[in-house]
Amino acid sequence: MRKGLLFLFVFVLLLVGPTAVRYLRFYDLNPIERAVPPPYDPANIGAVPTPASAEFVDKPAVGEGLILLDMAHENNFTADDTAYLDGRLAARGFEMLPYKGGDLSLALRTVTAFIVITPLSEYTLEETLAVTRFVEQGGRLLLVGDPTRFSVTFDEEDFFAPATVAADPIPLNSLANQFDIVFNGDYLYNTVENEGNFRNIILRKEGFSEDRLVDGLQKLAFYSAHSLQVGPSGNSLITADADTWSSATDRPGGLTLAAISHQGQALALGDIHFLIQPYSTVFDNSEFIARIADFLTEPVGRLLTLGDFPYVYRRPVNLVYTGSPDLGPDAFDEIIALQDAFRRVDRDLSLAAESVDDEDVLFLGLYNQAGDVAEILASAGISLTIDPPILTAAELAEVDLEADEAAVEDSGGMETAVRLIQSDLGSIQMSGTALILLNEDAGQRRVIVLAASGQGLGNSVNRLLNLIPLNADYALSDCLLQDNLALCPSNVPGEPVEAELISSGEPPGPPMEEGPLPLEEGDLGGFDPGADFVLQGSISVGQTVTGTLAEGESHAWIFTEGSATVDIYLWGEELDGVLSVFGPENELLFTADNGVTGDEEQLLAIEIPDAQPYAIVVRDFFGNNSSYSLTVLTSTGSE
Amino acid sequence: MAEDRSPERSPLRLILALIFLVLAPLAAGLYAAPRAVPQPQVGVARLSYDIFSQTTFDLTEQLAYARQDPAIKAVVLIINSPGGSAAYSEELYLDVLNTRGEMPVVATIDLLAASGAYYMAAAADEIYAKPTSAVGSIGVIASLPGAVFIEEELLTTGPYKAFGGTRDGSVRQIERAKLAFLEAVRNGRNGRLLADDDFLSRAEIFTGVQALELGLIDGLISNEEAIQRAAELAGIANYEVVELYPLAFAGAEQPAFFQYEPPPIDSQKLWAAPTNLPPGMYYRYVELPSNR
Repeated sequence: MRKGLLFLFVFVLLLVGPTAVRYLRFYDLNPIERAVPPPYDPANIGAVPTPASAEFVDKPAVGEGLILLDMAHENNFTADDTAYLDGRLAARGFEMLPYKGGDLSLALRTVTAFIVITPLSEYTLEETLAVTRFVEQGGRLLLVGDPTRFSVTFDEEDFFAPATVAADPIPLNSLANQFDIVFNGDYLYNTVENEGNFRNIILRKEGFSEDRLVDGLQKLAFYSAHSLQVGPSGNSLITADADTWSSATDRPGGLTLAAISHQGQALALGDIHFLIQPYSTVFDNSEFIARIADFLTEPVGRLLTLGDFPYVYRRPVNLVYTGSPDLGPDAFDEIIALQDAFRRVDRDLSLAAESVDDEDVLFLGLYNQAGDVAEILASAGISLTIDPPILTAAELAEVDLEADEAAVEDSGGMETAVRLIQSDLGSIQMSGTALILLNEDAGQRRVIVLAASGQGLGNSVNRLLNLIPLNADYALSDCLLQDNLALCPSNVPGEPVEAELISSGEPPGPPMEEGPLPLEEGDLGGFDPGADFVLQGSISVGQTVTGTLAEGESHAWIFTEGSATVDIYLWGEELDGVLSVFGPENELLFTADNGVTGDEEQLLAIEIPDAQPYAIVVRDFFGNNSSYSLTVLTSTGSE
Repeated sequence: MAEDRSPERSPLRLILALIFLVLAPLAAGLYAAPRAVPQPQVGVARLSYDIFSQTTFDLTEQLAYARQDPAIKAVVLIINSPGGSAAYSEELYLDVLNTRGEMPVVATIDLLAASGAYYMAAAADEIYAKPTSAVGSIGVIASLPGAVFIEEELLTTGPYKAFGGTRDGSVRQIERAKLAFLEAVRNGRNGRLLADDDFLSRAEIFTGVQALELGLIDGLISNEEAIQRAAELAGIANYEVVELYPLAFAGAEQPAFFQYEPPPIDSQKLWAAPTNLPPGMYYRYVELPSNR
């Protein structure tokens, strides 16, 4: 029995032994105990909450005005981005006007505020100065940056060249630095508490400064923002909490997201997204935006200068001729042109015998008939000296013959005669000089335009007309300008100091803009249109004509009012214009083809030496069918 | 005549007894031993380049093979990946977690385990890297839906049928995915994480040394040492190291006897930003141009 058990034991040992040996060879009998991870259940992760909107109802005071929106510096935003702010401005009776180029200082004349959003191209020194001056004179400035608004360009010719990135801080800083504010080229983030994403910064009242823009607000959210540096003459408006970091420094705390200049005229914001729906309604964002709209639209009594004509006017304007002259058709042309130009910029101008206290006024007249405005001139330190006096025809008729002769000799320009304008600018001869003065008294704004002769006055009115369009070139550049007084060349050679304004000419017909004058016999002189041009008629100084080019067609307009120095303008919405002037012998004298479709072509300060027929030729660069308008004005001398 | 009943054993009986009592059980034991206790193996699987449908399928097949093969006692994941699709990364995470329930899984990072790749690694028992391996980028990247509109000739039965959802809603979904990512990492690391969620949310890429300081990995060792560590965790010695890919796909692509050579890693391809990425949510590291 015992032997049997022994045999069985050996049997089992031999059977299992190899397995046991193998197990012992391969496996540790005391293995490391592995940690068991807790059960993973991603469904337990809570939803990220949608923030509440404050129940804010905007109840604005309704006014009226324009706000300029910069769109000339590769500004990286869309109409949708500004729609909410635009709505808040519209509720206040204000309209956003796009600025797409041209002289910024002129474009700023008509507005109460200037908005700059994410520009990617830099401002010129002139533009920076224009904006600074605008703010110093009481205009409001809103600068908006955003770290997500950049552009990347690649060098198509150099495949290996690194991409060029254009971002907004540098262009913005050329303006913001004037007010001791600097946009940093960073973005802010907060991974501790945010509005759905690390770059959506929650801002609490603890970080708001004491300013009416943020007083009483509890919580805002900015959706990707630059930080701002604020110098001693700027004020931080909104500061983020200690858990908000800057990507530039990787340091937290004390980061400013909105700042305002010391005088409260320039507001800088590091984010655009909070202005855009749906983010504009998160927390107190909508109320903050309404306050920004208030900031941009509240009446601030902006200091306006002569260069701001006609936007210096805030009320209906009376056009008053000094000396109450009898007005003829020439004057009607002036009045109609001024009324039309005023109407285009939403100002009313009506002819009146005298100014009315509760309306603004534009005085036109000759030096010799400036008695009506002598007091105003005196208050501006200007006196007019005409010695001996120049008698009008009616005055002459009242004196005896001897006295007449003496007076006539005097008015004929005795060498001892004095005809001077005396002002802070010194004593200047009336002959050849036009005076333009802006004056304000008891809320009435007055512009006075005086010249020595009727022609000089007409040229000065043309100068004012050239100032009126929103995209006008600066028409006072050749004037002696100080404060609100301009002394300008009247562009009348050997200008006499006339006794009275005599307007004459044909009885007034339809407005000159309505159509071209027919060509008369001899008008063409030696000019031969041949098959190249289609003759349209004649064109005069001060006239605007319109036409429609058929495919491949060129239109010729005959000008016979030389000698003259004129500016010629050609524009058509779908026209890529080519503007040329041909001489009496069909020779090409001048040509302009600088713009693209929709741009205005200009030939400025063109000298037409004589009264022979000159052809102003209009065509489309691509020979397309398109409409155009062509204007000839007396040159203001700017080239 | 009387029968001889002496106790003398006949040689035949002795031979039979030897065969029956010694040789037979020994032979049976020797035969059965490798079958009962096969030589343990450490399976090596590799995640190279982007995580998308194909890489996910390859890896999950290898892990499934490891789970069903009794010889494979541990798995080592060698990672060179910038991550990829969020859903596929999660699939790998869950599959690794499942495998970890049956055997030790050790992840070892060569060049890069970013975002979804680290997400997957977090499910392993232990993670190792080299001192300058790139580790981390814990976060989500996704494009937002465009502006919604409706068309006259295209009818949908819901306002977001053609867009998927609102932009704002997408922001919150993405944030929630990030929170789930962090939770998965914290879950997988099981108390070893030394950095807080706010810091990890920055989605930085760390070197191996930094990652060790932050508790994102367990050590700085070679792949060979990682295999030894997997064997230690599995409690095995004298093990064999096998590539799982040819075992899982033998017959499908190449004969099993063929010596499998894992393809070398192309660094340029590894770090390259993806092109034509379809809309969706990604756990992927995307390096933007250097002058940004």
